[in-house]
Amino acid sequence: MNLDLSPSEIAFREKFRAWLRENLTDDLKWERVADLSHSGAWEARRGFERRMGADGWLGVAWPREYGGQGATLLEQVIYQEELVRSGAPALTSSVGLELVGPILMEVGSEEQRHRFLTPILLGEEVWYQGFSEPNAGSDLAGLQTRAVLDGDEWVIHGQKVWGGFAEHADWGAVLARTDPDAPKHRGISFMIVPMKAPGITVSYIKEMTGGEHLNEVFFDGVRIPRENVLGPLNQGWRVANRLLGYERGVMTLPFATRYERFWEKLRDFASSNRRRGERLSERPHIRAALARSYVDVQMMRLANLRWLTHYLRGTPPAEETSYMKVYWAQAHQGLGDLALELGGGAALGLPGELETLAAGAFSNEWAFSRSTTILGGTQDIQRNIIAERILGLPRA
Amino acid sequence: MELELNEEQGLLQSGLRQLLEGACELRRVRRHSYDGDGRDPELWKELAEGGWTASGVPETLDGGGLGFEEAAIVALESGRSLLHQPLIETLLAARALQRAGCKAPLSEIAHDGASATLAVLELSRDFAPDPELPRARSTQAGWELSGEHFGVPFGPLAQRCLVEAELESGEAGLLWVSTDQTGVGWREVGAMDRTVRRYALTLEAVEVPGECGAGAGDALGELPDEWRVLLAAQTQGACARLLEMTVDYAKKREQFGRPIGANQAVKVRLALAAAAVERMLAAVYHAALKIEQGASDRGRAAAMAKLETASPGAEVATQGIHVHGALGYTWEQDVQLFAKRIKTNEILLGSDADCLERVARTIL
Ligand SMILES: Cc1cc2nc3c(=O)[nH]c(=O)nc-3n(C[C@H](O)[C@H](O)[C@H](O)COP(=O)(O)OP(=O)(O)OC[C@H]3O[C@@H](n4cnc5c(N)ncnc54)[C@H](O)[C@@H]3O)c2cc1C
Repeated sequence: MNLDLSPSEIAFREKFRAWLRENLTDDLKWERVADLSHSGAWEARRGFERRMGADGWLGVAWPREYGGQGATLLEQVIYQEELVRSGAPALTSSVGLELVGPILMEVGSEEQRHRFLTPILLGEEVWYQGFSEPNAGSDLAGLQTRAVLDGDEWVIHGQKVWGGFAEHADWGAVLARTDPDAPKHRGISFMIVPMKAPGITVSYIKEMTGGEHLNEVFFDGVRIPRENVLGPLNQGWRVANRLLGYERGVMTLPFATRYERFWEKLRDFASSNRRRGERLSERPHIRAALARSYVDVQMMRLANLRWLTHYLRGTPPAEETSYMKVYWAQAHQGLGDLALELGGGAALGLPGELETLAAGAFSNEWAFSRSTTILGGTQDIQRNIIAERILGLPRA
Repeated sequence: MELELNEEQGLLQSGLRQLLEGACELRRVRRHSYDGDGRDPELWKELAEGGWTASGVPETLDGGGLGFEEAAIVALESGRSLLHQPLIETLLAARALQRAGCKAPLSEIAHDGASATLAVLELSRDFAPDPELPRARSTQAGWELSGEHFGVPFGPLAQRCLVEAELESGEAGLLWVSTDQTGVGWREVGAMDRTVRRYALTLEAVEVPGECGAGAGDALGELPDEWRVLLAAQTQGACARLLEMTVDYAKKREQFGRPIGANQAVKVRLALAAAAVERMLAAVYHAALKIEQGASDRGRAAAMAKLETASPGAEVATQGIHVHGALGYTWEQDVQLFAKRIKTNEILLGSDADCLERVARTIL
């Protein structure tokens, strides 16, 4: 066993670090551009990603024949971790890079690959993920958005919810029902929808953090060409699911890096602040809580690394990714709780409110971390997967 | 980056598992530990012949020369089989003896198949309010050892005991005594886990030949951390087996016309247990690696492994009993045997609060 990187992995990391040092200026950092309602934030993020794309730093995982770097899984992890460590904003291109791109390569037609892959890789086009619906969350296959063929065009009616960047996106990866008579998993197709098409309306949903990043998207007779189906007709469920596991698998490793950074903030806070006459970091229960949260973040990383070892040896990811999602949520919510325990009353205001400790970062993290048991397949769904598909318990 | 056993280690593990599945069935564990006197010389002989009892002795001294990652594998399997013999204690003794440069005892482990246990202050503290280290006075022949230790696993069921003592210099040293030597007294104390019986040790002017002792202060230093990791590994193995037994039961036992495991409430219990057991393994491998490397953060890694297996292990055990219904509460059902080992390992050598503070000290 060892936890070391090889010389070529270190070289890869140093190269990307150097690029980030050169190109990621302070005005582009996460804190400055996270809130898209600030004027110029979207443009700044897009500009940065186009630069990444032009210099070959988008889609490093993509095979060389499609213009990627053919990075190994471990290099992909290094890449994502460096991105987080540098303070870069989350990529607006990630749906294209991580979901749509790989699916295009696997099941896309020649023309589709030709049309869509390069703009994704260069950071020129943004994709929106339109899967969840108001009545189809955990039971995604129950989705009701319909696409009906009318001559050479599909006509789409329905509503999507929870995806982000819908207002700015160029294209939507939208799951729609194309055969209402088939069993629910077999009548869904994966559609490519131009997001600026007539009939699409986008609105924002305010989150409990006070931020507005999640969208509602209404499709009211939206017409798209017949050939805008990705993969075989009525097989959209299978096409989409190939990659959903990946989302909660080792790709949760960069979150561990983000949580380590946040944990360090909490530690620094505890060692430089007093309450009731005592330094926080000297109170036994605070020490225990800081240690507990440190261990949870480290264990999230280590459990991932053990499975990453399996993947690097050639075992494809499977249901164990559900374990990773469970650890991820536990680590994040623990941190959120700890932040407010440390901050006390002064931390209880939301960002942007008057006199809130750490500019609301503590309460924001607490509120944001409530979403981690829900997104990407809820904690309950992960437990069902572990029980039924790993332990082999009978389905309900 | 590799946080998993390599091929050779995998073979080592399956070899030991196979041996223990044959030679250390639960029926046998019960017969010797609960119904008998705790001794099982045939099983020890089989382990010795397989090279396992001397696996911690360096190859140059005719041992197996296995490192600490391999010691963790042995501990995992000892938990899985609920081994009722002082195998991990013998491994730990061999490592400490090697660090102290004590060749004669190592030769006893390697050539005579000697079994060993450990009497150290840190464990004594779990059993007595204010234990003091026994004192070793130097004599012409070597040392004369007097004092007490508490909670020693296996006690006289092992042949030798590595005793932590205070030397005249004030340093801590390790001394090698025979468990049936003149002046060595054992008093058995209650242990709900009868597979690891516990003893108070009294030493009255016990004569120890000179070779082992002085300058051994450093040798002890590692021992508690190593022991913590092996207890953690043992708990992981025990939890994994207990969970398998419980999942099997949940598939077979029917109520309301369906297997109890078809109910989501039962699934959640088992899924959470599985997630805990899964994480334990990563913690154990990580700590084993850090100790093998002699990394500066090995103490923290050891505390993390203990922490990941301590109360989470006890929770897995509780769920295992619960899902078996009243049957799980009976003496006859095997889950309770595992539960007692797991709970014992949780309490000893640092339970949650202690290990959290160990971690905290390194990061705050
Ligand atoms: C911050 C955030 C970002 C998101 N981003 C996206 C995105 O980009 N694209 C996208 O398509 N979606 C996105 N989602 C949506 C997300 O995938 C869904 O919210 C999620 O799948 C749960 O669906 P739901 O909200 O409808 O809850 P429901 O499915 O209605 O669940 C409600 C509760 O019931 C429980 N429950 C449901 N079924 C079961 C069951 N069988 N057993 C036990 N418990 C059950 C759930 O665990 C949950 O606690 C995002 C969500 C959040 C919070």
